[in-house]
Amino acid sequence: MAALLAWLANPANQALLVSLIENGITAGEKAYQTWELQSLNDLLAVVKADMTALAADVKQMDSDIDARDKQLEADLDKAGK
Amino acid sequence: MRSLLVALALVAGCAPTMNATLKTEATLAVTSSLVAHAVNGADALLEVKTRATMATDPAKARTAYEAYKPKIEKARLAVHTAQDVVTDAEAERAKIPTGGDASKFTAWLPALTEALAALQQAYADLKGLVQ
Repeated sequence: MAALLAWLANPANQALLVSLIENGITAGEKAYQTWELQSLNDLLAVVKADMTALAADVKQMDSDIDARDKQLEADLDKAGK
Repeated sequence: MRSLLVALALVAGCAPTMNATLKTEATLAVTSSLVAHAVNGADALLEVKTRATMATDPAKARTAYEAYKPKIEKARLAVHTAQDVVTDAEAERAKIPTGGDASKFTAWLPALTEALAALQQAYADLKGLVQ
């Protein structure tokens, strides 16, 4: 500990330590971003499948309801006459 | 040390919002599909009931149809809105792996949350319609 403190007393060594920490932060940030991007890529594949299924389900909903409405309205008109 | 703390705070601050946005987006995509099926099913059930009434009382059937139709349309609109919101949010998220701005994606969290709440309300309304 005494040796470390003596080492740190030197301004040049202080600057070196800050640089090491900042480089560590940069490397750590890059590693986190790489992990985050890979996780996002993995999730992207799953969400893409959900989006495709959603589009199909909404299209089916619209198609079925529109067809049902058209027929029912025609039949209601006919029955009401 | 200060730079380290600032960097950690930035990372820690971003991660929960990204997680919340991803989770809400995925929930909305799945819930929208489920509610689309529910809307379609409710409409089909109400059509059967209307036709049963039409056989004996066409005027009553017409009145019932005109009463339930706007509610089905409201639920349908909630599904479409949810689909639009989740599609637009996903478009922003898809850009992130290739250098896109993550904050543009996380900015969608309020809209995603609102669309999810509207879907949940639509589902509750549908249950009231068919029971």
